[in-house]
Amino acid sequence: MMLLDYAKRLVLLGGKLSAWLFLPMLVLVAIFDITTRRFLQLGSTPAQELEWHFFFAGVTFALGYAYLKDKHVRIDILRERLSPRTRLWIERTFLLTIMIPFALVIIWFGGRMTWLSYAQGEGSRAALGLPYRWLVKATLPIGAFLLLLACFYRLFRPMDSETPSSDGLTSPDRNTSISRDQTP
Amino acid sequence: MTFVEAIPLLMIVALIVLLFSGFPVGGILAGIGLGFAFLGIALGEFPLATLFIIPTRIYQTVGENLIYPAVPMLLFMGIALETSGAARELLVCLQRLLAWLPGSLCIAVILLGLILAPTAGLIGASVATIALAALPTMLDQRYRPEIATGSVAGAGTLGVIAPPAIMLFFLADALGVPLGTMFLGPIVPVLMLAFAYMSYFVIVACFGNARYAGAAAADDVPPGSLLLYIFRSLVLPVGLIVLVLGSIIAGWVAPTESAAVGAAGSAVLIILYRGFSLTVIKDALIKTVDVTAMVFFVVIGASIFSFVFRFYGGDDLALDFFEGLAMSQWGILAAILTILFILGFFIDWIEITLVSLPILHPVIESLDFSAYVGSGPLADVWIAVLVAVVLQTSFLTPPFGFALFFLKGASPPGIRMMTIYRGIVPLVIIQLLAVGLILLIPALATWLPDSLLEIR
Repeated sequence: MMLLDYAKRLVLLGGKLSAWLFLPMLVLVAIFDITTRRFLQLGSTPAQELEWHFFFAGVTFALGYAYLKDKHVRIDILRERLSPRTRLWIERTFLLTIMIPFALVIIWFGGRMTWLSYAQGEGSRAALGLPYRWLVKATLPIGAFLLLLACFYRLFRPMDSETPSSDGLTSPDRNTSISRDQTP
Repeated sequence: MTFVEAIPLLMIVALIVLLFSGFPVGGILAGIGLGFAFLGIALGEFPLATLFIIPTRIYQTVGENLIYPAVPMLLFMGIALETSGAARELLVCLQRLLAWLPGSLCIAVILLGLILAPTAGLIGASVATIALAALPTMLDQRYRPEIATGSVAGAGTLGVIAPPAIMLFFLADALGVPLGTMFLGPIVPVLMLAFAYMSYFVIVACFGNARYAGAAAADDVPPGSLLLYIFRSLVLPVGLIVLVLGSIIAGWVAPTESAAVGAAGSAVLIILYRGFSLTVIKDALIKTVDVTAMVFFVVIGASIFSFVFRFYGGDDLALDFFEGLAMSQWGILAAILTILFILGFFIDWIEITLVSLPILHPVIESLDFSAYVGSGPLADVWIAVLVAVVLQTSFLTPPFGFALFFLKGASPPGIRMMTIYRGIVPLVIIQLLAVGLILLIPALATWLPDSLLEIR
C-alpha cells in the first residue's frame, strides 16, 4: 500500500502547486499587464495568454486534490439519508463506472492532443502570442492523471480524512457548507 | 421517434436520476456525456474519432477563455475579506455607525451582504459567512431569532446577484451578454431590494417586536481614535469593492482584469489586518483553489455533456417542446422563469447556469422582446437580470430554499427550521414584488447599462 501513499502525495502536490504557484502567478501577471500597459507598450497579448495558461494549469492540477479532500459539489438531498455503507457502495460504483473511465479517456485523448500540438509546433494564432501550446495542453492529461490517482486512493481508502485544518484561523463552516454536510 | 432521436431526452432523464445519487456533479455530467458517446459508438451513430474532440473542447472551454481567469481571483478576494477578519470588523463598525437607527444590526447585515458580494461564489458560503459573523451578535443583543435569521438569509442571497458576484460571470457566458453589461444590469434591482429589506427591518423594529425586551448594549468602543477605526474597518474593504467596480465603469481595465485589482488589494488587506503572515495567505489560497477546482470540474463535466447532447440534436429538444405548447412570448418567458425558480430549490446556481441554461438558451434566444424593452441587446440584459433575481428568490423560498438549509447549518443549535421559515416569508414577498416590478418596468434593469455603456 506504499503506492497509495505516493499517489496521495502526488495529488496533494498538484493542489499545492495550484494554490501556491499558479494562482499567485495568475494575479501577478494580470497586475503586471495592467500596470505596464500604459507605459511600456509591450502589448497585452502575451500577458493575457500567460494568464489563462496559469489559470488552466491551476484548475487541472487541482481536480484530483479537490476530489481527495471531498470538495467537489454534490447534490446531497438523498445521500445524507443513506447509511454510510450504502454511500460507500454508491461512491465506489460511480468511481469505477464514471470517474476512472473519464480520467482514462482524458489521459489518452488529451495525451494525443498534446502530442499532436507538440509535433505540429503549435503556437498562438495571434501575431504576438506565445509559442509552445503543448505545454499548457499537457496540463490536462496530467491533471486527469492526478484525478485518477485520487480516485484509486479513495477506492481503497474511502474513510481516511484529508482535511486537517492547518491552523485555528479557518472557519470550519466554509468547508462543510460547500460539501453540504450540514443540511438538516 | 426512433431511439437515436430520443437520446437527448434520455440524457436529461439520466442526469436528473443520477444527480440525486450524491456523486460529484461534474463527474456525473462527464460520465453521462461519455456514456452516451460510447453507446453511440456501439450503435454506429457516433464516430470514434469524435472522442478526440473532447479534450480539445475542455481545453477551449476552460483554457482559451478570457473571462474565467477572473473567477479564482474574485474568489480569493472574497475569501481574503473573510479570513482576514475584515468582514467581522466591518459588521461591528457598520452597526456602530448605524446605532441611531432602529434595527441597526439588521441594516448592518444587509450592507455586509452587499459588500461581501465577491465571496458569494456560492450561496452556502456567503450565507454561512454572514451567519457566523452576525448571528451570535444579533442573538446576544436579543433580536428575535426569526428577524436575525431573515436578515442573514436575505443579505447572503443578495450578495449572489450583486456585482461582482461570480454567478454573474456564468450568467453572462450562458446567456451571451457582455460581462460589463451583466455587472451593471443588476445594480439598480439589487439596490432597490436592499432598500426594501432595510425599510422592512426598520419598520419592524419601530412598530413590531424585532427584539425581546431589555436589549443589551453594543460592545465597547475599541481602543484608539474613532476615525482610524472607521478607516480600518469600513473605508478599506468598501474602498476595495468600489475600486473593483469603479475601475470597470471608468473603463481603466476590462471587467476580468478588475478581479486582479481586487485580488491584489485583498492580499494587501490581509497584511494590514493580520500582519504579514504567510499562513493566512497560504490558507486563503488553498481555500480559493478548493472552490475553483469545484466550480470548474462542473464546467468541464458540462462541456462534455453539452457536446454530446448537441451532437444528438439536443439543442432542438427544448425548442420543439415549447413550440409544441404554442404559447405566447410572455407565456414562454413565464414558463422558463418558473422552471428556473423550481430548479433553484434543489440545486446551486452552478448547475443551473452550466446545465439548465444552455439547454434553455435556444428558447430564450428565440424570444423577441426588443419592442417591449427598447432594443435587442437591452432585452437580453433584461432577461438576464430577471433570471438572476428569480434564481435569488428561489434560493430564499421555503420549504426548499437552498440558502435556508445552509443558514440552519450555520446557526446556533437552538434555532429551528420553522423559525427560519417564519422570518423569511416577508422577504420572499419583497422578492416577488421586485420580480414583478422588473417585468413591468424593464428600465430598472436596462437603464444603468444603457446610459453608462450606451448599448443599443
